[in-house]
Amino acid sequence: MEMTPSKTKQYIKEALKDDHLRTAVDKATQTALHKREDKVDQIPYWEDLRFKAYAVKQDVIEHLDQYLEEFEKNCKQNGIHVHWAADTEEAQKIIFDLVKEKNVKTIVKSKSLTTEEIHLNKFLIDKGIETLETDLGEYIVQLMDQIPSHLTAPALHLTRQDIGKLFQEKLGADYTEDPEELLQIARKKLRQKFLAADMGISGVNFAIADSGSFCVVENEANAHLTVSLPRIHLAVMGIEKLLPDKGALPVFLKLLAPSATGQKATSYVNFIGGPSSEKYNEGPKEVHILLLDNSRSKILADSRLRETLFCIRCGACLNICPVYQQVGGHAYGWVYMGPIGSTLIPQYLGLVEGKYAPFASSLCGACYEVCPVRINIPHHLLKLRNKVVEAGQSMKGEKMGIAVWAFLAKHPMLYRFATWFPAQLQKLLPGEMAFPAPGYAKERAIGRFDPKGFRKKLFKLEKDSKKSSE
Amino acid sequence: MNNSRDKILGAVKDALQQPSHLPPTPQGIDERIKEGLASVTPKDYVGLREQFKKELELVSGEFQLVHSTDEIVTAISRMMQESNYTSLTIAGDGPYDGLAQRVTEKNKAVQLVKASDYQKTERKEKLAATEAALVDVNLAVADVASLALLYDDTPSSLPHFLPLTIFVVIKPEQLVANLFELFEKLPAEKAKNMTLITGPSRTADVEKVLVLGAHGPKRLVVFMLEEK
Ligand code: SF4
Repeated sequence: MEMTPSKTKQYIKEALKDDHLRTAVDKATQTALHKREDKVDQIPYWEDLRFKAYAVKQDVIEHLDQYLEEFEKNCKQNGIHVHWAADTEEAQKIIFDLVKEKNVKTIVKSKSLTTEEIHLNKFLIDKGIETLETDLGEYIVQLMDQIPSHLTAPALHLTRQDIGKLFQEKLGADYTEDPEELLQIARKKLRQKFLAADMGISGVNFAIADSGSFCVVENEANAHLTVSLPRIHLAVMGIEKLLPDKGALPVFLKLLAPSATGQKATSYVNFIGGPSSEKYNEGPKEVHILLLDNSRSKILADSRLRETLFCIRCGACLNICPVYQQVGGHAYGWVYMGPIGSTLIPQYLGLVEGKYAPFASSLCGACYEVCPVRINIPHHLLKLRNKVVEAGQSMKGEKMGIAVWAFLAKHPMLYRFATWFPAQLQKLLPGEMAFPAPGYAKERAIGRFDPKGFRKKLFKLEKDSKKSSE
Repeated sequence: MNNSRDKILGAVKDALQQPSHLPPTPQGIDERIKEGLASVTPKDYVGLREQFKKELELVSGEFQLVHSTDEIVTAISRMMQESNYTSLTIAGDGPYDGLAQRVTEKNKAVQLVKASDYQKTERKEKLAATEAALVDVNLAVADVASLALLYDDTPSSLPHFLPLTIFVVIKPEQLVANLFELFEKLPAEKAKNMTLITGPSRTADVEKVLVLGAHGPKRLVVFMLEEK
């Protein structure tokens, strides 16, 4: 299903009417938040870890060219083939050429947002290559022909009944809504695929520049089977995913697990530093890594917004966001959603397609507080709003509203009249009726203007507080 | 390919011409992390062992303190019998292969499957059909109950992942306090190819309900062998 952030307004409207979706998102985000809080409380140096992670990321991002070259050199020394792709088209071409050259017929994948970004599944399937997601949530959304609705919990918007029906329809399984049985159905189907696959494709959580290796973090063991069973492994990695050395790993692993899934440690962290050795006669005979730019170097060019490249895709900012909690991930219309998605969408896709995204926020600041790498998301959202306006992409009604307000603000008498008049006009309406606001009032209750007006109320409040302090 | 490489690196270099406007990080962070770590790290081996046990159980793993290999053989035989298991796999070349042999002698219904006896394709199929594995790891981490397995030191990691139940034997000298100590201790070359295992495999992808045994093991039993 093709989605685009330019239809965000339409998706939001649909999401707000969908109680079923809201219940599922609410339940999932609240569970994740409680578990996160519990684990964070057990780490007294949590805030220091966040500062440390920020400093490490700042060093990497602001010396990215050097770290990339170092990583490439060390990968090659380890026998890893390194590919570079400037954009989606180039990445798809490199991958398809490799698939053809190596006579790959079947591929198993472990969860990777970077491959979602380049629409890899659809591309390979259209070319006749069987490409299967193996993370349970990803498998479910692939069967649904949807994109993930959360960075770490792709099927968070679906209930067990939805999944039971899906497995019945698409896999011919007996209907069940028991999570354990649903898992068994998927495990059985996928085990055979793992054993037979020619190629495994994964993303990269962290790549280590000074050792030329990378790691994939997971819970299901599907990523381990993906990187160890097929004869070829391909990892697709955004160029920003680097860490200088293994010394930085404890900091990031300790921050990632609680933030992402409310665990102290994820079940598996798989490190890959080359093809299998003589003694360890498992793992792929060939390892390839594809370094993807796809607008990241453009983001880097803004000396403040480059901070958005620090993101480790934990999803904590989504869980805490009051907007995400109401509308879910699909409303953003792209692979990155929630607060961080709202900053990435206009930066990756441009200010025309991404013009709505920075406005999908209440700017409450909760995302900044939970972000394990201290990305100041509200600040960046404001800056991007500014860019949208400067690019002439703000909405017509909004532009007009601001122009009227600016005019009134320059003429205090008129301003006073404008704030007094609606309350008087309202008196003509029968009973407690409010001004009609078609569209807006359909989904919400709308209140009446205070008959005294804002100014009078404010002055009275001031007077009262003065009196009480005397 | 080289074109894209040069193009990307060139774009990155150009972008970095823009001076940084990122806020500075406060001083003394490393020291504060060290202090914080020290405040939650048990002071002696017994404390670390108990922390490991507690954390392992919190992630649905099982912990057994044993004082002889006989105890391990008896416990595994019993658990295999209770679960009606008939196959036990080992990587081959491992320090506890002898124990697995003793389990099969004690429990005649159990067949031993040695991963290194098979070529890769056959091995995958064979191990996918076995029910349990007896394995070793290189290090264990007390504060998160993780187990580190270096691929360079084993002929096969599939026994750690394919069967439903995994028995792991560790010794006191393999226990480190936390992830910081782990990454300090791991030899750089070997740490390139390894895995960290924390509890059995799991998923919460259906309505956030935790289910064990996703694509890997459903049960993980760790024996801490404290020989006199
Ligand atoms: S912005 Fe921060 S909180 Fe949000 S996904 Fe990225 S790292 Fe996690």
